[in-house]
Amino acid sequence: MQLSRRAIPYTPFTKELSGATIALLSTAGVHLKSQTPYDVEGDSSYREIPGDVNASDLTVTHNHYDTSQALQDINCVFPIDRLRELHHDGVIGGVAPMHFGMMGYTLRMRQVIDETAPEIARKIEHSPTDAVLLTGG
Amino acid sequence: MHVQRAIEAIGIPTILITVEPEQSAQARPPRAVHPVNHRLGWPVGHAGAVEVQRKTVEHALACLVHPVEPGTIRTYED
Repeated sequence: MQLSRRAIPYTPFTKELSGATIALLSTAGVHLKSQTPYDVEGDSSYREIPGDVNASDLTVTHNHYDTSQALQDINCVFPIDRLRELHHDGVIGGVAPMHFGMMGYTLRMRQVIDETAPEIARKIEHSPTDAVLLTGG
Repeated sequence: MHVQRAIEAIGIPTILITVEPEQSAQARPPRAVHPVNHRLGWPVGHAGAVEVQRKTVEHALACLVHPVEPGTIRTYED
């Protein structure tokens, strides 16, 4: 069944936050420095970012916003260190083993809807993740 | 954004931090929060602003626990 654009999918959050494992997904163009950068002319692909990543190994490739803050501190757009602190302090139950980066700009929206988004959703479904925190640029 | 809807549709709750609420609203996000003092490039908080970033993340996660009508973009001021 195709979901209408007017419909809003909604899954209740039924766990205690202190027991929940959280994943990040950013459309700010976040990726590992060792990964292929996004095509700034438009890119519908995504990058997997391991949960134990060192923040200094991350960067952003995007030209639709001023990336200077994110290049100084990736947590501006991808708060991985903040999640770890919240886990350490018992606010959340854990940091997911896999997070995701996208560029958020593409002329191939149909590809995002039909391929990229369902593929990411399936990967998250099959990983120990209770909720996803998303950030834009 | 479409990926948020796809994740939610598969049964995983989501929360979006957005600094472009008008644009985000067009994609009909299941849950979203708009930190009104933040801007494009630093939706979670300025570089090095650890406390602000943490409060933004905590506030967003609290929106999972205390839901409002799906599609509502809540504002947040730090």
